Amino acid sequence: MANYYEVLGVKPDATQSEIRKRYRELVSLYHPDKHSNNPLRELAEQKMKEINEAYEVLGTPEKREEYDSGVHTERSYHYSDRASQNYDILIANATESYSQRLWGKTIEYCTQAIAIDSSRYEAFGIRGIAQSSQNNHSKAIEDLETAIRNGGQDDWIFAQLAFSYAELGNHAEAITYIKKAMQVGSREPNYLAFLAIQYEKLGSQTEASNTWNELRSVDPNNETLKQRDQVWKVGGAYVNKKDVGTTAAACATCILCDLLCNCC
Amino acid sequence: MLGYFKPGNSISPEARRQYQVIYCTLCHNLKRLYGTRASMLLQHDPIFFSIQSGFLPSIDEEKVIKKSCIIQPKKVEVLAGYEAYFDPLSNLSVLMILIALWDKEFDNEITIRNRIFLKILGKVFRLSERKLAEREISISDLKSECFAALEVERDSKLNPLDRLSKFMEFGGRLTAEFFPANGNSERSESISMNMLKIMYLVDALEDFHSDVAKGSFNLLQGQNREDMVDLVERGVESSLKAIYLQGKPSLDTYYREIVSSAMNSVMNSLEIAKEKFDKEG
Repeated sequence: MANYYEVLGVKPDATQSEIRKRYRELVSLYHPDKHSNNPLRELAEQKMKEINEAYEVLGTPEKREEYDSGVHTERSYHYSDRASQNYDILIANATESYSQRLWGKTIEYCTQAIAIDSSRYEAFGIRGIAQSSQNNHSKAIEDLETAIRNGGQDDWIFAQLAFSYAELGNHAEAITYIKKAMQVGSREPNYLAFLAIQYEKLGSQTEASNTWNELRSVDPNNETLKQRDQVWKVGGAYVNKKDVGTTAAACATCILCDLLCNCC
Repeated sequence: MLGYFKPGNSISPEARRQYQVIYCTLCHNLKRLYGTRASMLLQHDPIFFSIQSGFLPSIDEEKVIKKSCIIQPKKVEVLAGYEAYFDPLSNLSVLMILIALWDKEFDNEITIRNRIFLKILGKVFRLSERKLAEREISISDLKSECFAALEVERDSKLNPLDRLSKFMEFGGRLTAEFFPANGNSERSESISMNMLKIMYLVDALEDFHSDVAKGSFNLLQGQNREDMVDLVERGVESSLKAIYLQGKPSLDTYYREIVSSAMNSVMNSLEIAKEKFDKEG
């Protein structure tokens, strides 16, 4: 079981108000709502669970007293492991930066965390997905494979590795890793859609068709599926005729371009 | 003909904002490279191309800065330090317009409006010529190649898709020339070729009756009326499949939304073109 003081990143003699303050800070960093749309959602959920568990004990004086007098006391008083605390803070910052789409900062935090402890997987994993966001797929693959070697078995790591391999044109590896992601995680719609596309790219029509059908049964309204169906059947029902026009603000340049368009 | 590949209004505000940042960055980059007038050449299609081909990485919010809009008195968000991505896009945007004008010149259809346009943008096109020369591409060779492709396009003995093939190859090769560092020049070439094919086919169907009335060239001329819609639909379908299959499997939810919406816009344009064709015919 994790040391609750380390989970919250507070000293064993921290006051209740310090613990409360730190808890609020961590909640603001890891709240799942902040990561609803990114691959680090699961990591944030897992961290949030650990933080809540630790706060449940340390935030209640009676429970904290009981905890301190128990088996964890000895370890908690060996709280000289600043490195571990710093690593966790850097990972929290990297996660936060990633959710704000600050790829450069994310990579910076992860690199600092790796310098502290290169045997853990989180920093390599997060740096990998940030590298991928910057189109540095070879570096992303390197980091994500290190993350796996360091014990990272989360589906987001395998999924990202699959995406990076696909981007470099290695569809067979992409299939292997997305299947692994579905094995350790779940057969979630986005993974199924990705798998089906990879099969199509490899020309494995039967497997592709089976995977599309599975996706159709679990998530009939999946965007990728709708797009794919539309592409395969021009003139289908997906066309939203009202959805015409530019999303970019109308500006004089567009009008001038239209002038030219009318001519050619 | 340009602008079929633009996302619709139904995309989420977050995705729309991302698109707007890219759009404004391209506009400012055109100004930086070619002067203020070049911002008139801003287009949506190169943006779609850069996202779908995986050329443009996800936006790093740290690199987003505020700048004054070139056209309107307001502040816009643009990306700083993305020249490596937006310079090729800017060069391509200028060339696309130049080629559209060559297309008119080929048919001796330079209107007064075109002449004004050429006059206003003369400096921009001269700069483009210089930039091509730096890449050891001669503008006159390029024009000759373009005219040769247009010659095939006008060959009434061939079917419309075969007529287009040479021009698609020309456009694809030219695009790949601008995106060689991507490591995916084959993908760039193919996506670009198929985008061109869609633009030409939809445009030909949409303007068929007005072109016939004006006596202008139209790709579908010589086809049976019943076959025209079918041919355009098949052509658009196969090209969308190719664009879809060869595109980047982006993990970026906003980019996925933008691409999906832009492809839907192409479908819309096809539907509108079909309706116009039926109505006017």
